[in-house]
Amino acid sequence: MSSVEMKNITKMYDKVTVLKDLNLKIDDQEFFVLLGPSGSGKSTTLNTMAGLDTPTSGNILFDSEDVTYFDPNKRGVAMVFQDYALYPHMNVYKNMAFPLKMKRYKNDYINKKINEVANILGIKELLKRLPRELSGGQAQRVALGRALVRDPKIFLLDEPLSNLDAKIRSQIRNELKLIHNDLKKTFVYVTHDQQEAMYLGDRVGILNDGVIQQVGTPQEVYSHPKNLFVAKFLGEPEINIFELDKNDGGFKIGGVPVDGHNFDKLNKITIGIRPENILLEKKSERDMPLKIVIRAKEFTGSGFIIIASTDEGKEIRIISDQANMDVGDLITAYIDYEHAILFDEQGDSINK
Amino acid sequence: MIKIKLRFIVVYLILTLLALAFLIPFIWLVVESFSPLNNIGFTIPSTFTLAPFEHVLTNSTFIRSIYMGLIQSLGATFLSIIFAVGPAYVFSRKSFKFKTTLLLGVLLLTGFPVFSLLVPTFIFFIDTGLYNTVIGVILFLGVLNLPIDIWIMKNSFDQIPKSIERASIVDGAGTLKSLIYIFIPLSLPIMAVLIILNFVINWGNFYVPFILLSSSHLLPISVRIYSFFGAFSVRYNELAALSIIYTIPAVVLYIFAQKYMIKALSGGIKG
Amino acid sequence: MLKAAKKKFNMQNLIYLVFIPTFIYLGIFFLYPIYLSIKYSFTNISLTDIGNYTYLGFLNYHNLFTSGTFINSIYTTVIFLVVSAIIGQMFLGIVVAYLLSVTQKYFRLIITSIILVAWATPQVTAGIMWYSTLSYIPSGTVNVFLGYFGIHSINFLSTHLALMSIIIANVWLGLGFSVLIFSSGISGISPSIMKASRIDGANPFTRFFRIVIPLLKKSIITDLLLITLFTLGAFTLVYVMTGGGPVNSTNIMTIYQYRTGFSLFSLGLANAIGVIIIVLALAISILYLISLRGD
Ligand SMILES: Nc1ncnc2c1ncn2[C@@H]1O[C@H](COP(=O)(O)OP(=O)(O)OP(=O)(O)O)[C@@H](O)[C@H]1O
Ligand SMILES: [Mg+2]
Repeated sequence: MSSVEMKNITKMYDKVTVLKDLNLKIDDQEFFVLLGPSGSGKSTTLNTMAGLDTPTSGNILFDSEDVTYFDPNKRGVAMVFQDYALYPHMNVYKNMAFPLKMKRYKNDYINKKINEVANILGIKELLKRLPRELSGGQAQRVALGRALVRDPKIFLLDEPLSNLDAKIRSQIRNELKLIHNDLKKTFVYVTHDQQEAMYLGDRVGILNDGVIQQVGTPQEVYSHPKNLFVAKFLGEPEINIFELDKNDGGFKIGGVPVDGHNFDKLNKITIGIRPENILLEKKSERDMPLKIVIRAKEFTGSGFIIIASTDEGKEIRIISDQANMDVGDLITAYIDYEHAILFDEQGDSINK
Repeated sequence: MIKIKLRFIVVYLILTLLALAFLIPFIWLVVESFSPLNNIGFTIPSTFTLAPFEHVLTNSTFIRSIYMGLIQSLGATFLSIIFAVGPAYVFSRKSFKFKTTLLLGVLLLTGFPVFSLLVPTFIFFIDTGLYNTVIGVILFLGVLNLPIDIWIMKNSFDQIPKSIERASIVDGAGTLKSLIYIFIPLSLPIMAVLIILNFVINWGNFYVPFILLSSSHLLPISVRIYSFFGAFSVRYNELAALSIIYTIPAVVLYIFAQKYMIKALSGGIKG
Repeated sequence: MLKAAKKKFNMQNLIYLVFIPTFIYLGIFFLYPIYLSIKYSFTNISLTDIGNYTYLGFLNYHNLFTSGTFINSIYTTVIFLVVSAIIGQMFLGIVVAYLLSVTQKYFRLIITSIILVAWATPQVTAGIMWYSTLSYIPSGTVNVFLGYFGIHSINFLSTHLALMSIIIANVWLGLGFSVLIFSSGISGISPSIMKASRIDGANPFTRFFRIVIPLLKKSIITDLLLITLFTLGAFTLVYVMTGGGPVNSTNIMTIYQYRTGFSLFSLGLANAIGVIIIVLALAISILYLISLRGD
């Protein structure tokens, strides 16, 4: 049993506030992903959980026990670092044995445990090597192994895959998911890669400028972003954004009026439409036609990304299975208004 | 193509000539030290002999001066390293209020023209009874290298990634264990290089013992060689042999430690 | 909870105690002599009777700046600094490092090592070696070689040539340091920049002045500072070679200070010279810090 709760956490370095009144509840056995751009405070959040940093104010609770001022070794957490942080003067075996030695386990147990974990991770042949004799993927596995041997209550992982190439990254990503399923432990995983977050997370928390923007399942945060930042940060290619002004003769996209019941009080709205929600064929009555000129087609393997521009010269992106048109063609596409996401002037999402 | 070749030949030629020119001063030293004659000028003897080395190495005055040189250099090295390591660690690992100011202070002392301090120190040592004592020389030599040692050590410690120590702390090591198992083993090579550097600098120092010592039996080899050189009726071949014995350890150790020092010296002030 | 926070706070701060012994040591044997040197510079303290002295105000300084010997000593120091450190070591150092950078690895290693041996040689040995190498009567190595070519012996340590001789010896001694600094600087320049400039058609000279020198700016400033300070504080090599003579022709400030204190017994005056050297060094260091801040 290990849930994590961060209550009103504020962290300041000198006069710079890095985390602003952060509240977060992570459930037992959950795979929680903390997602945010560089400098948003992800590592700081994780370090505070680990006890490597002390918050300026606020409390951290593990299973409703206040651990805010506990030393890291009293918290029962294991951590994997972005740069692996393997001890350069110890071979792989000694690296993995270190946390167990610190806990004064017997050598037999240490040996057994390391072999067990080395088997799971496929690093048995590497046990005698020094960190500098390992490739990036191997080093990452060892770093993971050093965390796994410990049987901690909570795993903290700080961008563990960001230094790996794409192929190994997806491989280790899959393994991580399996390991989590087996261990049934709480994982807190930090990344700036939204695809990784979507793939791994039971729930995802999006962090920007030290403020949690939204917490939810990947589907929730993707389909129902709370604000424009979340909408833009998730999804590849980026969501299409239309900024509309009532003074332009009502809210219109490509000359077609946008309907909604609570628009009366608003002067400006922003509409976000995901690339897959712009259709090349009309599917339903509410779909809004949009005249576009094809600018480019990119084949992605499973389909196409079409880059086009509207009459107003706005560039939009469309994802489609097929693309039997040519660059320069003028066609009518359809906005799946059902899936459109609306935001008010402040960038907060509103109902249609 | 030919033009490029020619250009390269010129480069090699220039550098070779420069290196040869650099060897010229050593010619007398080497030839004279194996020579049966003794001569401050340059003469190629008809026979070579090891006698100058033999004489020097069986002369108790010279042996004693080597011994004094060792004691003074090692003692001062010990003091500098011991007093430098704590502050260097804190400078590298902690951030605190006056850190930049203190570091600038250390940096200024690093470039301090220490020779000019010998006159006041001479008076100070006479007043306190440290004049003409080995411990006095050790204390003063030791303090001279302290600022640069703090500086080099801090820069070297900066190269040991913090995340490694953080990992060890999450892995269950307390601050002390993290220091013992992680930080100290990783900093040992730096320490070794720095110890060598300090020793060589102290071994080569002439003016500190020259001014702070007067008794003949306390003089280290650097000062002994100089007084030998300035004496009447000098046996120059023995002087050359003694100089070679004095120089070789310094040169060997220095070349060994050099590469590292430059790296550490050119690191700037960080955070 | 407040208690726990407080305890952690105190424990963390214990580590700052390591500063104390070091500051005490530095304070007694480094900072205190600096203070003494300023204090004594205002007195007439003499080697013959250290216990008795009176304060003279700025008389020592006044006497120095009206003394031809001191002005001459400053002049000699400046020439020694500019020619041996800035031109000889720094500029030659960049050129040699640049030339070395285009040569083959082992050749480079050998040449660098030879130049470094000079830098590693203890200065007493260096002084004796150079003295004998330049010796006039009996002929030292250089004069013997000159003899082979039928050239008359030259008195390198005479009044006219001694300054040039100590400059050459000092370049010989210090070049290795600069070459090392610049070699590491040059190896830090990304090879693609060098390749790009080559493709852009820059010849070796343009490349040297337009690419290498600007990119080495930080190394140049660091090197300049260190070798100026080394040279300003240089004593042993010159003292062994010439002792400041003949006729004050190589009487750089450190030697002047030494002679004033220990040959003329005027420790007060010697301290005033020391203070002037310290002020000069501080000025150079501060200039360096300012020029780095510009980045
Ligand atoms: N020790 C420190 N002192 C001062 N500021 C710091 C310190 N550590 C982090 N910061 C600042 O806090 C902010 C958040 O840093 P943090 O490392 O948590 O970001 P991050 O989201 O992990 O970024 P990245 O993806 O680049 O790792 C940054 O603006 C950073 O500059
Ligand atoms: Mg981070």
